Amino acid sequence: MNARMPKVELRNIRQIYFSEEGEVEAIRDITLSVQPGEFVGIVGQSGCGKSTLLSLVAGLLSPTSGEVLIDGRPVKGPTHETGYMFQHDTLFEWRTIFDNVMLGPEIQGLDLSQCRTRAHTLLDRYGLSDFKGKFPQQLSGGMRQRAALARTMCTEPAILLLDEPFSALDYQTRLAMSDEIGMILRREKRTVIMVTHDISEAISMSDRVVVLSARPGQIRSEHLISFTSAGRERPTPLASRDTLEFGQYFQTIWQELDVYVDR
Amino acid sequence: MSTGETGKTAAGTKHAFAPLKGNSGAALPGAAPSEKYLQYLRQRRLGRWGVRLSQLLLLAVFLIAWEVAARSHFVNPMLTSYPSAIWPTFLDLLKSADLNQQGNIVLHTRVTLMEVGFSFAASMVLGLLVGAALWWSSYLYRVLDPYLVVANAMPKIALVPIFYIWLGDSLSIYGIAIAVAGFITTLMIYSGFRETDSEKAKLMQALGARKWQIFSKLVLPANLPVIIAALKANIGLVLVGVIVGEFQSARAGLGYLIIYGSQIFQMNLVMTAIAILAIISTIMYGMVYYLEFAIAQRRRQGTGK
Repeated sequence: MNARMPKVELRNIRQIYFSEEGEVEAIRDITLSVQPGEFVGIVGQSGCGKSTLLSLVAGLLSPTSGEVLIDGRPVKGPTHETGYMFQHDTLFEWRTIFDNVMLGPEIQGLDLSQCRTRAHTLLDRYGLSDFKGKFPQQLSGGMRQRAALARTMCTEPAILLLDEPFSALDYQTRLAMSDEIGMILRREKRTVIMVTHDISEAISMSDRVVVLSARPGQIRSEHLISFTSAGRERPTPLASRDTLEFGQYFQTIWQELDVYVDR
Repeated sequence: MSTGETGKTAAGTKHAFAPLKGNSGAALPGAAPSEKYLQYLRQRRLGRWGVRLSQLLLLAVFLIAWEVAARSHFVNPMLTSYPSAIWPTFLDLLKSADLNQQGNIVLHTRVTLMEVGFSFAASMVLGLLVGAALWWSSYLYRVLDPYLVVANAMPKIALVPIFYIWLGDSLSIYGIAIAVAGFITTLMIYSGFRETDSEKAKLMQALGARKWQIFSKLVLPANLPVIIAALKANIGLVLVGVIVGEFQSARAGLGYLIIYGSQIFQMNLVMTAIAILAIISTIMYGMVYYLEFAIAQRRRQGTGK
């Protein structure tokens, strides 16, 4: 296998939704590759087809035309390769935190005793040791989101799809969570695709930011993110917000999005 | 606002901590609760007792007014009976061993309970099965929807004679009770199933869940509150169905007792049967309420694992 083969590849994707009112072109001709271990942030206006892109990679949708490849193989439905995290934590209120984390393994029919050990490890690592037997309504928003991350990680997906994972949290929790989860994912070298409308969040967490135009979504520009002024090691998401480059990236991306608002 | 006397305060302190057991919102351990807080707790307690007392009072006033009005012949006791006559009638019915048409009250109650219990369970099972089928196949739902809506809007009581002819005197009672309760249960449960959080459904799909897994692990547990609401609605509806069914065709049961009592102009008999029905529905409601409470309690407290 070619070592440089992208983990995820989208080739000339076009997506059209049909309804009684007519057809809507959500995505037009998107081609994008994501390397193994890369963190790609996708920003764009609401309704530009960001979430559609994730659904395509997850295999929940098949594109009207074009191809989605994971490890060079076409995606033909939901695979165990991907883990999906949503805007809301989507924890099941009737399950304890531990049982919520075990949901994925249960559905995918994995070795449960092995997964139980992993679930314990993940919850301990994310600071939820004391909350395994609690129900979601007993936890704060940030804790719930960490529990949702543990649930996503428990099936050991190679690719993580984050759909505005922090936008339902209050501002402080949101900053703290994006810092924390950003570092966890970087440490574990996961391939991540995150869509968001929060430009700062995308810049602070991603290796590369892809800007989508308004509907129909097309790739407007791509920005490789590096904070050379902060030294050789990449700063944490929170610290990166203080760097010189951060403001420049923000200005550039903001303007690119702005153009399409005025239109 | 007065701060209250010392004696009262001491008495208040004893109880003040009781409702706070295990509550993280309690005052700091060791620190005495403030006078204002104790007063707040006293007022809360007084408020609760006030409501209970008023409820009892309302019942007592109603019963006494009824009793007095009947005894003073302000209303004709032949038509209304009176509360104090219900207990002796009940004891009479308890003793009578099917010598006359009245029969034994235990028998009547048992017959009605059987019918109610079975119809209650059957209409819940039916509602769940049909609701699940409609959730499973949106084609089926789109086809059946108008029929279900019309069937639900129809007065099922109109079918009583038909059920009687088709099903005979005892089965028709079950038939009518299930018809009265079944449609609305189905519609309630189905609309709950349909409105299950779509983001959670998407999560299940992304995990690769099959349809039956989505149903058993998401849709069913997510709709526990809906199912409990359906249980509550069912109590009243099934009782209506059973009693009306008994009016038409029964040879035993509380509905039969009511019809029989009114035909021989024995209002004591009628009122006694109604009182027992009130007790049955209260107990059934209490059971469902307890179930709901137990579920909510579990979710509040965690399993301590």
